[in-house]
Amino acid sequence: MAANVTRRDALSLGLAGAATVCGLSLAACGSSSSGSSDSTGSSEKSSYKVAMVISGPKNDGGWGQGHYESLKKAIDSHPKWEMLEPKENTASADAASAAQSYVDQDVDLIIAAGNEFVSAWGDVVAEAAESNPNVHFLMTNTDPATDLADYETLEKVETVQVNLKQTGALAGVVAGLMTNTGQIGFIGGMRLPTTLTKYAAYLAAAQKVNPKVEGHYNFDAGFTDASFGTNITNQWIASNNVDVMWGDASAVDNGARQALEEAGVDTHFDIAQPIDSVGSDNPSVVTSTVTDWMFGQAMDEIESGSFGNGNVIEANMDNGGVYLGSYSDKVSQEVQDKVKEYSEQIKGGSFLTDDEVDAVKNTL
Amino acid sequence: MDFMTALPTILKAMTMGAVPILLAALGEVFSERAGLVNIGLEGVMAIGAFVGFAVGKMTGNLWVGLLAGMAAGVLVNMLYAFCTVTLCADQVVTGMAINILAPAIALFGYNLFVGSNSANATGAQMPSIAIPGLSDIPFIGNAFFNQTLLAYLAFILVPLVRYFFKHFRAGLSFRSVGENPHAAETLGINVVRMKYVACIVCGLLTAAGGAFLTLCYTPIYTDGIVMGRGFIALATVIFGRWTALGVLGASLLFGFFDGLNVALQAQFQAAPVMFFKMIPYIFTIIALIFFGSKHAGPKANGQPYFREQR
Repeated sequence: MAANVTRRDALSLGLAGAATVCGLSLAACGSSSSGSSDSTGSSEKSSYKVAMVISGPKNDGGWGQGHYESLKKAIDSHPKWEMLEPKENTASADAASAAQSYVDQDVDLIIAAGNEFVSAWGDVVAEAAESNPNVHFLMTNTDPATDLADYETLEKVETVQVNLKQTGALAGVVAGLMTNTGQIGFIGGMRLPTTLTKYAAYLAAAQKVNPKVEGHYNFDAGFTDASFGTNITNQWIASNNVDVMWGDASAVDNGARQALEEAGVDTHFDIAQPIDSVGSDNPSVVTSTVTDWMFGQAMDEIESGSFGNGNVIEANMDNGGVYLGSYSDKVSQEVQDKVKEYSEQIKGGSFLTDDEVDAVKNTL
Repeated sequence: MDFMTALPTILKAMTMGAVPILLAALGEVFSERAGLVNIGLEGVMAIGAFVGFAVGKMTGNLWVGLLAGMAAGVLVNMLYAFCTVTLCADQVVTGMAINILAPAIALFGYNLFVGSNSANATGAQMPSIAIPGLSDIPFIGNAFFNQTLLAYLAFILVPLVRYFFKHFRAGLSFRSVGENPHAAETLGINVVRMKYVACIVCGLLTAAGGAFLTLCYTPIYTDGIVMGRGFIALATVIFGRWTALGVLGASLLFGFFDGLNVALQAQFQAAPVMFFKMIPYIFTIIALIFFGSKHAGPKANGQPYFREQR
């Protein structure tokens, strides 16, 4: 052997390696056998199982956590349902096998957190419709007309879409009322149609309550590089006097908050999403636009047998799918009252027209 | 864009961005001076970033977090050392394996650490220390003299490393091992031990560079937080001609172009930002074209060392 080891060392290493592999294999067998004991189905469906596949971690403070907390909330109000441990950090290449493993366990509802897995799930959905008819699929942030166009069957499939105009408008109203300089910023992870709609509604709403407002944006920040969020926010603060930020880029938003904190939490504010992030850990966050992904509604439909056929569940202000979270003490009562007043108009659809949102969108 | 208005922020981004690259690159200088091309810096940085973050959060002491992160970096780099020095495995393949293994371990640890307790997702951050007088210098003051203590230590390390390689007997031994290990062995230098020491120092510094990201830059850990900085550090070692001062210059230059990229993105938001994002990497490629001569590095760099070989 061409190495700086003796034959005895090599033999010892080989034996130690083999012993380790055997030990790990036995441990894995032990855990898998204990985990598979409750996979039997129930004919009268007194209990249901739900599982979720996420591209990132479930505690990312953004996208993944928003889905996870929505599911926990739904489970709390649906005692017949049991949540399996979500499959986190799932790469696109593993999306189909992740879904198939839940199909094999006859899980009643499999949730895709985002539309990035949709194309990979087409075959799994088609096969499950015949082999496991009790399995249902729910895909968030997915437009059936475009994202599911190639699907063989939508019999057991539904999607969730958020009313982005309402989400953006809520953030815009707060930004327009909180900014002292009239300069507001936005960071998006990717230049997606949904991201553009959010920003367009955000800026249009801010300009409606404060016509002096100017917007600054970046739609290509990615979702992981927090230092980019810090640097671009610092740049906007230094060059453009930006004093309010809203973000749609998970970890990058954390970086933006760092920059706002360094600039001073009494004068520089962040609006978080999609979970309520106000607290001492985030001193610059003044409020949050919160999204509830309406998993409870999907569970109700499965229990009643009405789930499927490619229906779209909309999360909006009427059904509690979109709302503003708690306020920090930086938001005066006067501002809170105005936000409440505007929120009613947003909910009623009289605050922003589609044309006003499109006018901003066409400039992007 | 008013360049002079944007300049202080670009320079601040430059120094902040340069520190993790500088630390990892200094570690790589030790490694390559001893003949070991370690392309696993990215993975070691990920481990340092996670362990530094988690231990800093658990203990409430960021310096303990830093030390733990550095220790974890050494541990991971010992895998590299064992495979390449003891087993004489291919250095590039082993480094790639580290790049795949280490971030996965870090992510697994993160999932265990944060679990269902999202309060663990945000850690603490080292405070910046402004040096009175110097930090008020226009343009450069805030960038260079309002930094965290770890950043100051990283910059102080540069002359120390330079002095070590030029004037210390051990430094000269490192260089001789990287140039001609068989000749070094005949002079009584324990080549294998020297290579292991190089891997320990490389692990310590590289992991410190990773820990800087979670302890000084942003108080969170995310999968992919290193963002290719380990590979940039490798390029800066070549661009910096395997010297501490050269590495410092290359790190600052890369940091400057990265800061410029962000400033351009901030001000020309309607332009295709991909062009701006390319700037630091185009600079890296150009630098490697002009300075990447493999004849400039240690002669035995990347070659496995067999003690019995003649």
